[in-house]
Amino acid sequence: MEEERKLKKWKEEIEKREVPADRLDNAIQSGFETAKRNRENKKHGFLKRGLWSTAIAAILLLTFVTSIRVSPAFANAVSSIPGFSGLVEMIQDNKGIQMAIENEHYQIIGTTGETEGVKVTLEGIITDETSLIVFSKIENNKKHPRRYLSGYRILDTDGKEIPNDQSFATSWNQENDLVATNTTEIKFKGPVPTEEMILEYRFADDIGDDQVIETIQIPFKVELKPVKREQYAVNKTVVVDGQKIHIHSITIGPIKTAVEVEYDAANTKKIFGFEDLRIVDEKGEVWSGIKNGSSASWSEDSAVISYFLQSNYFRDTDHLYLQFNKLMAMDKDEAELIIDTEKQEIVKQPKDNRFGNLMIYGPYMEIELKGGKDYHHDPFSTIYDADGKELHKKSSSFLKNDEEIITLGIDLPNENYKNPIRFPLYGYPSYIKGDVKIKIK
Amino acid sequence: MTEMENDQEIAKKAIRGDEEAFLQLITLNKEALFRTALAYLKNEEDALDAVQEVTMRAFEKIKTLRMPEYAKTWLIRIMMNHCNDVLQKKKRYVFDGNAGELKGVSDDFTYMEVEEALNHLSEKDRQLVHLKYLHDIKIKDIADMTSTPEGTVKTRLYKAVKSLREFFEGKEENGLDGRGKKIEEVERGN
Repeated sequence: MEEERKLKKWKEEIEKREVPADRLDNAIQSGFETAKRNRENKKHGFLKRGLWSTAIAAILLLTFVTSIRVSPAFANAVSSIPGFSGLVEMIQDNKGIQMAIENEHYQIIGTTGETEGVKVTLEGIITDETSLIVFSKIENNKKHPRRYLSGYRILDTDGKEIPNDQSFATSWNQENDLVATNTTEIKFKGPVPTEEMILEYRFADDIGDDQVIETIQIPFKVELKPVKREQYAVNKTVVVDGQKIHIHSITIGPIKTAVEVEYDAANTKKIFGFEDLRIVDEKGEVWSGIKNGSSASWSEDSAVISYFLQSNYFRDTDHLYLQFNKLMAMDKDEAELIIDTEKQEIVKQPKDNRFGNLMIYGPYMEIELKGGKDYHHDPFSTIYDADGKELHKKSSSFLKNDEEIITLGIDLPNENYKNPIRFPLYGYPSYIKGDVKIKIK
Repeated sequence: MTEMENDQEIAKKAIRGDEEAFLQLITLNKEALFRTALAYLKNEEDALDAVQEVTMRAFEKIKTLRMPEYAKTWLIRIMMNHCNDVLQKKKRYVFDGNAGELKGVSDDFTYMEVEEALNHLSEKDRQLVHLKYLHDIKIKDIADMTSTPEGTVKTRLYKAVKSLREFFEGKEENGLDGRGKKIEEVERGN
């Protein structure tokens, strides 16, 4: 056929062109190096966020497939707030935030900013003494579908940055993947400023990652009436399965409740965390952990960990109890995995042998963990080689492909190391049980 | 091991994060990538930039490649999408200012005629023609790769080729109109 002949000729013409071999190889090399550098930057950000973000991410996935269920009172409160309907699913598992909104501790802002590539609406805010939760809607357009939020800056009206810590969660609209809702918790060093501030949304594309390519600034001013957190000194030590747990204090604010805990240094078991830490009132109503956001925080120089629970700040109660029955914990001398990447074998692992199927593909390692149905923790964080040198993994992945088995992937470090390498465990399906009930008020 | 199995093995390793294998995979397909870019962008500089950019994107996304056997098609599709983005951004008429690049390419005008005809296709159809007629990729493979039934791919390709034919026939009926215009452009470019 004539058009087939023409297409053949067209192909021949294209294939006749000379390929500038050296320049082509250079282009490939330079694209490859850039990509590696970008990934490196990305990894560092990931490492800093550490263990909990992985566990939270895993839980997030589970949360978002469930249907939205909220109380009629909350649904009613929300229906009168412009722009909020898309945000409901972000807080469907957080009674504390829902109650703050029901009790009108929510400031509508509704200011929109826009660039060629992306449009954001600062829908509203909730505050406590030192933190701010920001609710936003982000709309990409078809021409620039790859913008994504890489972080925020808070500025004063002179453009100076106000220091803060932030953690955020973004949820993409399932029907329209150009629209996303985002909740961000911003924690200030001191009280939340009451002067006018500017919230700067910082956008990157999916390749540069840490490279901010666009920003949108939206001014706002906190007008919510200040609230006072309620602080309870507990100072009690409880014993579960021979392990001492010190409960220092409990602070209840409108955004969340923080429980300060310290595990006794002399414990024989390493405690990874609580499975069911909760606050219960005299009527039996329960406030449990935060599923969709930061669930704990700690600092390097202190043994005290703050665990966060949903807030009951807006509920009138006569009595409150802190309760828990189950902790993730295992013997300290068992809490490690040792691997020889050269021989491709597991040298040491916990006695019940839940790790298996170790595979090494060049610089990439994969191992399976029989975790069980309710286990969603990444067991790994730091890595050490045979000389005790800390190694920096380039990335890790966490995949729960069926009810039981988790596949953990790790990009092994580029640097030289001596086998075998050691992974201290930061989570493992091993538990201790007790029955703890502490009266708070 | 046959060459094809070997290529698949390389793609598999690359998907698992083996950087050397990734570089090998790109190198195996570098000519196809470069020629695709050249066909779209018409000049060497832009084509080389595109290869660099696509190498970077492919590295970022390699873990999302589900079917190692179609690594080549996958790479070419990233390239075509990237080139289309570049063209949309520049919104320039493809011959504009770059006609000089076509110098000495052709003693008849079949190449340019096909290019002009391709410009009248939707991007989707154009990509299909590229995959089938420039890269000789089997309809079945295109169908698998794009999760489209084979029959649908066949029909679409048939329609695309038909509209190319109609374009060519239209040109012939109108005498030298189309060609004459192109000759003018080339001369201006020189």
